[in-house]
Amino acid sequence: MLGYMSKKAFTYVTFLIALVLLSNPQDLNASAFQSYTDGRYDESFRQSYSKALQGDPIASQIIGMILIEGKGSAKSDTAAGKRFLISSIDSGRAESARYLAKLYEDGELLERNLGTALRYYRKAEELGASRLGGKILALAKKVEGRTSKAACRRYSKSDKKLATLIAQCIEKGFLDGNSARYWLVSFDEGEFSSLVKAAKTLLKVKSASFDPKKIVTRLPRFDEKASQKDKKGLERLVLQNGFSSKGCKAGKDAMGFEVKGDVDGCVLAAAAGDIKAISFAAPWWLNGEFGLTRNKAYAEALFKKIDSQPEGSFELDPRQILKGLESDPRRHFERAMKILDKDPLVYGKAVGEALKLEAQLIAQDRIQEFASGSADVLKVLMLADLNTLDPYVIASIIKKKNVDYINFVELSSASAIRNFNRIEFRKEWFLELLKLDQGTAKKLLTQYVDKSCGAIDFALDNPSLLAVAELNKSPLLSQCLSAGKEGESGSSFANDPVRAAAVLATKLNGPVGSQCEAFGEYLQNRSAFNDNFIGTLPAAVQNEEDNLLECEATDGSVAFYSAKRAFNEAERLKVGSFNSGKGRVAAFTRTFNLARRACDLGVGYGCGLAAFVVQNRPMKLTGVAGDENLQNIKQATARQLAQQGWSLSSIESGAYLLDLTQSAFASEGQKRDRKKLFDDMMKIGGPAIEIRKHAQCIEKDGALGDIVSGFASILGGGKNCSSECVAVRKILNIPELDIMSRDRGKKLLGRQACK
Amino acid sequence: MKTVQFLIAVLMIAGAGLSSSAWAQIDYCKLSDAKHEIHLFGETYSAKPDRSQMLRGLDKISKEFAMGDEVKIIVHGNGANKILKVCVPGCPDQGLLGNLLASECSAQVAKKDMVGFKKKYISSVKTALSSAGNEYDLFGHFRALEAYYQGRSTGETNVYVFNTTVPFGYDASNGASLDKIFVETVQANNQAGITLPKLSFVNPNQSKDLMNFWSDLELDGNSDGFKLDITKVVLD
Repeated sequence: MLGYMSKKAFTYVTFLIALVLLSNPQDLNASAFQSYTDGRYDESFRQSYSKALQGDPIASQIIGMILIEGKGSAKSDTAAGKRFLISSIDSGRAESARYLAKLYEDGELLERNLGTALRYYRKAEELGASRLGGKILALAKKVEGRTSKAACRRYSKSDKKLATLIAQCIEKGFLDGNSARYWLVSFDEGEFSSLVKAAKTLLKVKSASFDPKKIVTRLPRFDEKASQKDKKGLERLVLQNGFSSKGCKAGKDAMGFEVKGDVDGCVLAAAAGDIKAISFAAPWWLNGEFGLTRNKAYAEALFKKIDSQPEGSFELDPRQILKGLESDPRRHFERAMKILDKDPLVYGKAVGEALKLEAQLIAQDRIQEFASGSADVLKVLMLADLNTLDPYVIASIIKKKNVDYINFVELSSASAIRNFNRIEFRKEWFLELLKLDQGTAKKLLTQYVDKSCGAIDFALDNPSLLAVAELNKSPLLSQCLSAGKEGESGSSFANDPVRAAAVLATKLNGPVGSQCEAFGEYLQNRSAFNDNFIGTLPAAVQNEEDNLLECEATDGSVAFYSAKRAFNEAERLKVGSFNSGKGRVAAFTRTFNLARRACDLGVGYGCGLAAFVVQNRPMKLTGVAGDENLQNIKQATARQLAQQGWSLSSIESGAYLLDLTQSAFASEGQKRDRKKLFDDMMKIGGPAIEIRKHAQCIEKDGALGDIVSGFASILGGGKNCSSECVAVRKILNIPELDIMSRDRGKKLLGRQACK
Repeated sequence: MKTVQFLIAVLMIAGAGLSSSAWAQIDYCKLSDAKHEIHLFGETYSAKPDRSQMLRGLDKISKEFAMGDEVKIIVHGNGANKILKVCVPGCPDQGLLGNLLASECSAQVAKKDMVGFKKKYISSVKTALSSAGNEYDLFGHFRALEAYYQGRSTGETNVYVFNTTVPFGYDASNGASLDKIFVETVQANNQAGITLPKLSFVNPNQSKDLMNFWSDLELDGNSDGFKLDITKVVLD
């Protein structure tokens, strides 16, 4: 005990020496202090006592100390000592207050009383003692609480270790400032529950302090360090403030700009366990997208939340998840398989699309980047949506399946075959396949023409790859040909003669006489077909004459073709030569019969030609009695045929009908009907009606017109139709001009007006 | 030193005379109204010089005694006191007085009584000095005086106090001893509240340290300060 007291005494002496040094020496009873510090306590006492009684603060301090500590001869008298010290304090002696405070704090010479100690420390500071801030703060924390008003005012806002207390002080109104800011600092300093407190303000949407990003950036550490209770707390706040997966968006808008949505809201929702939000946020964290700092561990933690959810209890967005994992193929594949395992029916399509990544790696011979073994590769080939792949990748995959991986029996399984069968034919990948493996490509094309018009189109465009006979086996051929080439209104000899020829050749395939309709088409495009067709000519073409004979009886087009050919042959027979008369009649009669058959089979032009021949050429009209007026019958027959042709929408027949109805002696009704016919044809237009239009000027009115125009040219008067004549001359140069119009035009040019 | 020995011898002779006195004499006390009260605090005389001073003082005082004066010697010690009260023997001068008292007074007896008186006087001093060196309470001495004069008047009485005023424990060779005594005194508040009539302290210790001590005990006029209003009389 004695030893202890001596030690204590030494402590106080040292303390006092410090006081002396710190105090203003002019205010001190230097001698008394010297005596004290020298251990001559009685002397010091005697020197100080009367002054102490007079209220001298320093003397009082000395006496107080001696009495309390029982220094020298003095008996310890704490009551008296305190009185002297208090007197000293009341007289403004800061060091006495500090001394007394320390006595109460230590509790060895006075009964420990931290409250009183705090009071005297504050008094000491108030009286000018320095360096007591820390002591007062520490005591204030103990006595009044760490967040008492007094304690709060002592905290240094720049001290990060006090951030928690400062935040509490601010919330209690004892300090100014934004508590959230200090909660965040507190969190950063390792008080992980503080993030929840910061979130109360920062996540409040209508708050001026609303700043969710500050929470977001700290989520990974929070997730790693915080307790389950705190995590639940944050989840509640996130939900209370309305953050949800609704804010989750990613991708590009219609103009190609990146769409982010509410990234912070989405990330927060993910942190709160919103699985759909996790679908977005986990990949963002993994890749460091949308301003998030890359954090694989946290991303993985989010993924685990998905894994831990019972099936059907959440809304998963596999596309979003897997898209975000594309930077890590192995993880991407693993996750894809996990998602698939959850519900193949629900997620199979999305996973299949997502496996595009792995398929590309297979195509590039980089399977080790995602696969742990051949089984993984086979899974991709069986599950991936191969149609979403780039052309080269599709081609490469097909080649690998058919060549490189041929020995893997799994690829012969029903599911694998089914998956490959889903590949839609596209020219782009097929061309790539041709480059990689022509044999496989040709083999596939044979299969694809049975199920794809695109393949049929391709085969038609590339006849060297597939025999026409093979193509003709396709059950889709007719359907596809009638539908026309994909993306086009229909192939014709005008816009795509090669394909049109190929298509026509397929139609012509078969024995002679079996493809008359196609043969008719062929005859109409004979020249173009022969110029553009690549490959072996169909039998119908090779035996054209035989086929003509077979088909002209049943097919209007063929009949009409023969009629025209017969007409031209008849026209070439010279009038007046030997046997020419009978031959011409026979030829025109044959023309008439073929044209009329064509007319009856629906070829309107045939009707017009038949009408023209019967009206203007020598022929033998069968079925006419000898007493009948043959000329009237021919005229009536011609009108009837022309009318029939017009009713079949044949402009050629319609134009010729105008010729037949032209008469200076026509009734007003007939004129009106002809005028209507003319107007209707003018709406349609074309060289045939143009000829008839120009004829109005050239021919004037009826048969007399020629005479009148002759007079006019002599007299220098009348209408000048030279421009019409020029126009008619040009029209006659059109090769496709119909026979009747050409005949009419030639006649017009022979009239006086055109000479 | 010689002076002291001589004084003692004289007193012894005088004492021998007193012992054979006969008290048929007149009442000496009627011969004078003067009164002397001598307080002896022998405990305080542990130091030889102080004792010498004491005896010198007593000698001087005794020379002041006149026939018939009442001499009261109060020997203080051990918290009590012994009181010797006696009137100075003697017969009045007949020629001058011419009264009855003179005729009743035997000069012979008076001489004897004087011897007795001196013996008692000396005996009291001896008694007082016999306690020298004992532990004592100086402020107890003052309080004893205070108690003694409680209700008594000193107006007609010559009061002599023999007290060195040296506190017990004082070591002249150790100045700090007074500091210690000071501390103990004021802590016990012994110096406070003592009220005495005006008294004469005969030949107290006059050392400077002691003077300062008493001065310090006055506490600069504080109410608790020592307020003994004494007169220091030096009789040498």
